[in-house]
Amino acid sequence: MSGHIPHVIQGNLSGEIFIQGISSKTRDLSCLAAQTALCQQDPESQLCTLSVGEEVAFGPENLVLPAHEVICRLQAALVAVKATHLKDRAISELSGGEKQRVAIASMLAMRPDILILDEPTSSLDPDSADEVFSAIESLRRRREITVIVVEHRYDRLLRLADRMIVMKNGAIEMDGRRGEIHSRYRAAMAIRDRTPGTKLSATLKRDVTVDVREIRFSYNDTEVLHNVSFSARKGERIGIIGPNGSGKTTFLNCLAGLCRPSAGVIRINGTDAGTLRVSEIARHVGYVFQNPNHQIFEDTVFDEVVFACNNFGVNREASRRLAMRALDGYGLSRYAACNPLTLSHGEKRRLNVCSNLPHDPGILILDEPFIGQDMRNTEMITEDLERLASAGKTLFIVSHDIDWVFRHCDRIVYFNKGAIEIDEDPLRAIHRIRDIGALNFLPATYGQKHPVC
Amino acid sequence: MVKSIRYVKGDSALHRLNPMSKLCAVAVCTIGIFVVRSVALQALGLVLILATDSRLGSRRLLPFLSSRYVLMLASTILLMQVLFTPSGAVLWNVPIPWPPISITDAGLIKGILLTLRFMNVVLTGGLFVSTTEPAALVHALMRAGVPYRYGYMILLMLRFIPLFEEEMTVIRNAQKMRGLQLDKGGPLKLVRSIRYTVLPLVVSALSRADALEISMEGRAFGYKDTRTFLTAQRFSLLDRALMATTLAALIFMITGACMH
Repeated sequence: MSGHIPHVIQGNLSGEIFIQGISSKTRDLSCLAAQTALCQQDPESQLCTLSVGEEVAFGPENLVLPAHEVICRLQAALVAVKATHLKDRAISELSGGEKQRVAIASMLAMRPDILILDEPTSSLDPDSADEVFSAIESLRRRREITVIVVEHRYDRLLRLADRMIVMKNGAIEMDGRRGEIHSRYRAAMAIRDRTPGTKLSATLKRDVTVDVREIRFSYNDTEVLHNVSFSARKGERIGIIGPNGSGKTTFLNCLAGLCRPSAGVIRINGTDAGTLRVSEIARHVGYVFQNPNHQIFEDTVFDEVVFACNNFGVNREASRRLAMRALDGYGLSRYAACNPLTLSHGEKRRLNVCSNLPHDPGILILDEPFIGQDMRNTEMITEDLERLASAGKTLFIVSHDIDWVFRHCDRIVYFNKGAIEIDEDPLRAIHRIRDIGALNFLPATYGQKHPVC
Repeated sequence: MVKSIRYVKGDSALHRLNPMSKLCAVAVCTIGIFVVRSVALQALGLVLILATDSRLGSRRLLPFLSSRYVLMLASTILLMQVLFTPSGAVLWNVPIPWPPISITDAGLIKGILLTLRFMNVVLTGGLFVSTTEPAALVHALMRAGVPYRYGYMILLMLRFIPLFEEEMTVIRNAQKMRGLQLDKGGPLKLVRSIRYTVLPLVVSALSRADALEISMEGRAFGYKDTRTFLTAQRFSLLDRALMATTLAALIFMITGACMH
């Protein structure tokens, strides 16, 4: 619809798309750009200038509009996403949510008839996602343009939609009013409402794997972790949530030995981590980072999975066996000789997890394992994680997908301002989070702020 | 660590100047520095530059000048000239059997002159760099007629280089967590480091480039050969004064050169 096919991306396109009654084939992309705007998933890669004002003015400037018209559009676009106060800020100083709003504003400045948002909140923390949703809401209220939002997990988006379309295998499967399609879709996908807090039994397991005593950490004289204490047991699934910059990543980097706390002690399976090198800690702690591309190093799937074993000096025969077993467990052994970069999104993500398994670390940290994954992949990864937990691994899962965290974790750890503010089982965590008013961090069915339907 | 010169945010008189007039002044100054053969004038120039920096600029030049790196380069230049200039009256013969080295007055003067020239050229550049925002310079250049496609290439670099640095840290961390130690491995180190660091970075950069292309094309980048420029182009009284002085200096130098 946005005209990038066939104008930018090559392929076979048959049939025609009419926008305002004119076929997209017969116009060039710049004309189309003025009609249909596409806003993508990752705000970072879409912004091409250094300041907010420049970014929003970028499109109109390309259209060689007179300066006063550019300024007028710039103002209007920023108002529409409630971001006028950001006008003179540098792009690099913005939060994820602010960046995404600027990206939307820069598209609105083209005065499109249709705005397409492709998973606009999938890489954002719940507070930032909320900002973007309220920007979408203000667009909806104006009723000036058509807004199309593509989303995998649409719980929080549902109340903003008038119409819902379900696509499957390249075709439209359902199309109709929001409420009706929502219930038909849920029935078709057999989505069950799982109540949180059903997994308490695992917490009863005794063996402590991670023990953190009063650690502190500072970057250039600013303390980002204040006196954090924490411990985790075998087989626990720990959901780590909290706003961006609240210290989640620093905390996990400390566990992994990538950051060294300035005070306090971390014990991994009873050993003081301060006495270990990163490579020694790495044998006990696996870490799956956010972006799959940052952690694929080898040319074949098999080499990728034995990579860690080779580095740790496990003997060739044993590591081969371990790697094949891990690949079998993930149904990836048929790709053993393939290049990892040719795998699908979901397969790549599961390969990331899989390549942390052969050396058998007892603790596994996963940073946003579900970004860019559809429901089916999410389900598969969820099952993988469930298996790992029942095999006795301690799992740390950082995720902005609050609903998932509450459904599948035994424990919720809420970080705020460099400290653990809440550390409870899911049911109690819901009450505590409601008490402190962090409503964006409640599962959709519990967040009173936005009742569904 | 080398104290390098980079843009420092500020609101000094030099910061407020238009990048283009500053660039012209720097060019003419550089020509001047190469033309002037008087040690006294060069020394005066050095004092003037440092004074300008401390009164009107970012006050970064003096620490830079006294950094070990710059001092070493300057003293090397001085030493080479002093030791290897054969002409002029001999002041002192170096008491070593071979090779015969004598220090002459001409060598000493030439050495001091070249050292001052070197410092002046570097510091004039430093004065410009430390007070000019790179993006503002690019915008000014595009206004002055540099095709905007090239200009945006530089702007994109300025925007994405810090991101690549962050990604590099993550990639290094991912390597460490899978037991890879890049500081070990002898002569194959470079090959391994390229393979395991640069390749993931390139893969990630390419996927960014796709998104960026869609975003920029979608906003009609490249629609026409020109574009509107919104960024205000200030050309203050100070700019005009600087341009006039620069022009006068240039004419003075050219006439001087013609008369010789």
